[in-house]
Amino acid sequence: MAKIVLCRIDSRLIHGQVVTKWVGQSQANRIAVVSDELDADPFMKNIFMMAAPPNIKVDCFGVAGFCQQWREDQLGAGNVLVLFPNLASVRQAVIDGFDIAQIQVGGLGGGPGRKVVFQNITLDDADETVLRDLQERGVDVYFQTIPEDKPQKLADILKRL
Amino acid sequence: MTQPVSEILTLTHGGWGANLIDCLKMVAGEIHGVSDLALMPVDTMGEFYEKVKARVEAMPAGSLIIADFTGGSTSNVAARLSADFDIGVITGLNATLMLAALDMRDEGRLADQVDDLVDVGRNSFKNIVKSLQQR
Repeated sequence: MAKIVLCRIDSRLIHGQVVTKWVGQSQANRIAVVSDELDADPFMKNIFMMAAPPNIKVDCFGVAGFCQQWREDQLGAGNVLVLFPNLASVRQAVIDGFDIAQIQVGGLGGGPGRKVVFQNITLDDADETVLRDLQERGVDVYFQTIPEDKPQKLADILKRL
Repeated sequence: MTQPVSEILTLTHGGWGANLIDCLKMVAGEIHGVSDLALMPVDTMGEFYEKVKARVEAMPAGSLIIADFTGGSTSNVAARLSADFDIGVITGLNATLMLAALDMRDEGRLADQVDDLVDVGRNSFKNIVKSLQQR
């Protein structure tokens, strides 16, 4: 059974903030990327594997494959940083049995109709629905882009919508 | 037939590459065919990818992308574009590397000289105090 040292939602997946800050901060020795889109794109998958720091093992899963692995042996061994690209995939994983206690929202990208709630994190209506659903399921969701930021509680974020 | 001179595109977090290019005029004189694209915090990967793609489409074959650091979105997007375009990609932008790339354009396509540029980059770091003490 692996230890989940951080579960983060970040539309950029493995990138600057994750590589230079969160991997070290969380003391992860593995990264699990959970994205159906990436799982179907071998070239892009290779790029992200290359983006990770040396000595960090990277696994890429589709949501269904990830949940199956979770049910089987909780991802095996090691300290794992789990990355999801968006809220919808996290919600699907939670429904399919990924019983994670705490989720960090780090970046959801931008776009029209999205409202800035903290730093550069934006939410739209669909995101709000998922966040409230996760809240009801008892998942502790907080917002934080880099370790230097003060983590923001979901309840406080929702008040800004 | 002469081939068009390679261009250089830097991809940097927040756009610091534009500053670097501007300030290097102090050493290199007028600089042509070199530009920067900023990765901003609000950019999604998709948006940034499209911006870089539009820029790369307008560059001659054999041109060079210099991303600011390995593993960042800047290098990830450049890596993705290398599948579809005839470009070289190097990560770890610094002044020495840029000056070398500017010079090496005269030798031919920069995309064919990326390994040499990697060596230049590696050799650009020096523990100056230690080097002095060993003299």
